[in-house]
Amino acid sequence: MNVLDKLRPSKSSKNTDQSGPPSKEDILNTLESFTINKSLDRHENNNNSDSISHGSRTDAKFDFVDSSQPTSSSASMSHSYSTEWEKLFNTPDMMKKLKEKSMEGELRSSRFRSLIWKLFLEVLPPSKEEWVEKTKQSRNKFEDLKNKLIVNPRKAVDSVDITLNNPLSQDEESPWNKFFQDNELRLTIKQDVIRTTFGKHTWKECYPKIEFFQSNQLRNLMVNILFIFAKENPELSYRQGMHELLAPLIFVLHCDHQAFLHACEIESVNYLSVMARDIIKVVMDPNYLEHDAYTMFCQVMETVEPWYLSRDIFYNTKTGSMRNLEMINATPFSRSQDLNPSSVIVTKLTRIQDYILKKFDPELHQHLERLEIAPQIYGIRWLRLLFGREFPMQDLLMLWDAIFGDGIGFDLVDYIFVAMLLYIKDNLLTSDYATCLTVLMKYPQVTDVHYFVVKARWLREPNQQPRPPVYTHQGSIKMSSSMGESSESISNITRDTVATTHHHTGQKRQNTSLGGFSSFSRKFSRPRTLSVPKSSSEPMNLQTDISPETANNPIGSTVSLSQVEESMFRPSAASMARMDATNLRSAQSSPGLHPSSIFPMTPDDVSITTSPPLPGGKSRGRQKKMTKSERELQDQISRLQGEQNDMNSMCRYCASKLDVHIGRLQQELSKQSFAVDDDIMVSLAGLKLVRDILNGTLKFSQNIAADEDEIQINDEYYGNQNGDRSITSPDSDILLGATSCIDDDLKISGSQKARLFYMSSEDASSLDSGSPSVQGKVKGGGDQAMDYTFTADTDLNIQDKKSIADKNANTQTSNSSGQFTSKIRSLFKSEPSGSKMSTSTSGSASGNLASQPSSSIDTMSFQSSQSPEKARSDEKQPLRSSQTEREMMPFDTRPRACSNLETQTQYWPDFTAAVSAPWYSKEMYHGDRKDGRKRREEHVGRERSKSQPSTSTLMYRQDDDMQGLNPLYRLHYQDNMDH
Amino acid sequence: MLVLVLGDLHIPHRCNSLPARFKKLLVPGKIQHILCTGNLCTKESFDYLKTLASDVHVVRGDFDENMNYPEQKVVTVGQFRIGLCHGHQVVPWGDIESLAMVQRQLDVDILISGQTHKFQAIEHEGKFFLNPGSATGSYYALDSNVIPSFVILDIQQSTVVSYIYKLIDDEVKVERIEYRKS
Repeated sequence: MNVLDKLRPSKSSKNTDQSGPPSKEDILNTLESFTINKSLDRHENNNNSDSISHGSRTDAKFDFVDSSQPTSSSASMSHSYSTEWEKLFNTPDMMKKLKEKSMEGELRSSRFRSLIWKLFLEVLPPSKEEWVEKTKQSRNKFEDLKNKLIVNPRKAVDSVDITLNNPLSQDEESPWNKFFQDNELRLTIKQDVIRTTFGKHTWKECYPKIEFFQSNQLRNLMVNILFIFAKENPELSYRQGMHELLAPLIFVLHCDHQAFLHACEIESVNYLSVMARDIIKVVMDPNYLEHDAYTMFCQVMETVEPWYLSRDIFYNTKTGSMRNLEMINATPFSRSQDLNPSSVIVTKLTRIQDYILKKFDPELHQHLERLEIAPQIYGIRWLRLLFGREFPMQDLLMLWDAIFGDGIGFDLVDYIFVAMLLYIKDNLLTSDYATCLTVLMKYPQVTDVHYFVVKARWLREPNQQPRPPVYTHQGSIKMSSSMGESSESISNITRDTVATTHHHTGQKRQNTSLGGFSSFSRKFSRPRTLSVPKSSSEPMNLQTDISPETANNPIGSTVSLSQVEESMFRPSAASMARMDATNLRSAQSSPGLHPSSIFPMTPDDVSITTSPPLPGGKSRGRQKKMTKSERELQDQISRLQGEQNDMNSMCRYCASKLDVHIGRLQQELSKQSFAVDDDIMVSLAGLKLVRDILNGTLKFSQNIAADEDEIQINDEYYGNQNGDRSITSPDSDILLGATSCIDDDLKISGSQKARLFYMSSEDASSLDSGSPSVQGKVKGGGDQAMDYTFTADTDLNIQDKKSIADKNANTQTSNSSGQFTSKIRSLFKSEPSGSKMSTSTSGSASGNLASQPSSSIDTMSFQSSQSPEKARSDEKQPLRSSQTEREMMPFDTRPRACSNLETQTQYWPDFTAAVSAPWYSKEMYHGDRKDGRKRREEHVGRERSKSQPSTSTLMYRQDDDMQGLNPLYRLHYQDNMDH
Repeated sequence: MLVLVLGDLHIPHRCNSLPARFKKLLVPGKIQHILCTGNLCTKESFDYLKTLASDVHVVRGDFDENMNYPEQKVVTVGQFRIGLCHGHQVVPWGDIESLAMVQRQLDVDILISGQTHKFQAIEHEGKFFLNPGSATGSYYALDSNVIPSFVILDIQQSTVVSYIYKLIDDEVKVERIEYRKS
């Protein structure tokens, strides 16, 4: 049988609805020829009816009845009905087969679903012989109940005394009183039945279409059933939601009745055996819809009943004292659902969430826990209605097939519950409280309900069931799975969008914390608002950071601010100088991600560097609003950052090569003679300049381009709040511009340029004087001490060393730096010249907390071409370990350029560099805010001069008008001052 | 459908309130309509009736403060047209022939009137004439010995069952009269 043949019947039967009789003949022929394959035919027919009206099966079937004539043509139809019967009920091991079918979702279009359900619900026994009798029994029972329970006071006129039997009687025995009480109950039921099932907001747009449910007769029927059930179970009475359990039962019964009537009409019943026919006739009698529905409903309620019972009733029967007792015994910090497990359903839900969900998805469990979304908020409805509100009717019926088929205990429900949660896991994980609830309360549309059955069974018996494929809701938020990998992956595939999403997730999840800090950084960009801690939304972090400092300083805020500035610039400088590719990667990994993901742990410093400050991110609410545009921005930024990173690594490669050659050149030169030409020196310096520009440690500016000899170097180094901005090659400048266009806030940070003016001690004469080792101590933001030791020997080899001192290890560090210097000296056989391994600086630094990441260590590798580096490498090891852990800190992420100071000195090999006041470098350059800057400088100056009186450069630097001067001159000047 | 019929309260002129026993019986939620024959006399009494059922129909008695109540009113409940008239306009007061004239005028199945402060239910010429008496038992110009009474009509398809509540010796007595529309 080819495809065409298969297609034809369905097509034709559709046509029968529309086209007239003439065309029917051909169709019927086709149908007849097709009847050979009965089962397939049945399938086709069912498909067809489904396709005609999804959601209103009855109508479809009636269409069928109208269109198909009771002639030979309908043989297939009639056969199909009997075939189905035979297939379902005439097999050995019937129950088992039926259960299997229900699990596989094969009952979707069955016309005996109600019968199957009756079997599952144990309304009917497995043996067919008893069906008729059993059905009759239950129907009679219902009839009796109905007569007994539905009271008509007017009928009892004669039997009861008039004093009791009058409308206003309030006696318990009065039929009128009973009538009024019942009426109240009926009214409640009716309201629910009409409102929720038949009203406007009905079950998932499926119900209103089913006209069947809108007839008044059916409503009364439902009210009757529910009323009788309520009267029969006075302790439970009627609860909202019951009617929604009843409705599908009635619907299924009704559909099957109609199918049966249709089968009778086309006389297909005759194909059945006599016994089967009799059974069906009784079981499918449409007159007993109410009775059958009631019986089935009772069986369903048998299991579901505890879920409807609440503790209140329980308390009514006992004394209220128990509750008080419980309240007292409640453990602190316990959740509300634990505190007052008021009912079976809450216990059940708690068990589902705390046991099953936790077992299969601890992450989701924790997320819900953190948001304090108790399962009863959404789960009560899910369970009580057996997911009736969550799925459209046809899907629901299939789900119920499985639930009922699984056993009368409805054990599968728990696992379906969890499967449903897992399905929307991604949505939940990325959502806040409100969104989570929305998703949970308004469950997204599901394409394949059967998946839940499969998944639920797998969850219950992982060993026996095949593992279902992962199938989750693809909501608006797309994200990749694991957060943990993100940090590694992001640098590797910076351009990849996946990385971007990773990045997002991190950012997004930590939104709130970022929010607080972003507001801070915004404030921070205005130096005048020094009272940041008071005004910013999350000031505590900063405050705690600063407080020790403020205690020491009379003008506390200023100092602390500058320190903070420095602390935020430094890391960017640190990573800038990285040569090592791996180091580079780990450190660069997504500037956005790191701060956010690790932020909460070290909030102190992060605040400032955390990526683009969000405008007006003052409050969480506002923050959330921003997220969308922000997300887009983040996308762009990260993409650009990726490109930038590539550029950077290229530049750095060039720089490193250049460095190697320069080093060789220098060594050769130094070997030859002292009387090297100044020209050579200058050209060497020029080479180094180029190297550093490539390296990114030196900002490529018009100044440099115009005048090679301009000594004033605009050092970007500390000015880069965002590490990614510190690229100095022309290309990256463009990039920089591009990025800054993206975000205004970025501009702010970009504008915070700090300048470091170059201090070199003397001219070439000092070379001969015997390589004085000038050592500058940079105090990083108060919490870190950076030592830059510039050892200028006759070889013009200037070694630098930088070490980060922890508070505790401060003296150690200076010792070690002393060691370094000596090593260097020994290496280069240079005369030790009054190395000022100043312990004084360490003293001043000791006051500062050592919370800074020692990101600068990587910068060591910058000097890899130079031999002392090897000597140092041993020293680096322990530090590196500390660095790796710091690397977790957000600071390291943005950052680049770190070792400017070291390299700067090398431009001017003929001078012995004396970078004695490096803290100037951290000053923010705000262009028109000179006065503010100046003031700060003064503060700093005063402060520094107290702690370190020897650094006279401070005084000199305070003069703004000196800035324009040639550094050479300034150095002169400085020396004079020193003297 | 339950309809409360009462009238001639004369609160506060002749009586301070409804008898406590009656008040206890009259609870909201049971009665759908109230037909009042007038002489409430104040707005407060009307408001009280409103609490029992939202649908209150009142005609004007000779002591009513509210002059806007109509003299006569016809209400249709179920299959029955019910005429409402206080009765002080109909002379001689409480005379069945005079009331029959009003009944024919209004073309009603049931005519409810008050004024005489005496319960009366008469089937006359196939029509039903009902006087609920005075619910408070306040005195009548011609008679000071008045039994408090009111009527509940249970109106079904074509039958009206009247439950008459009387307060005799501080005991509520109930009577039942059935009227079938011919």
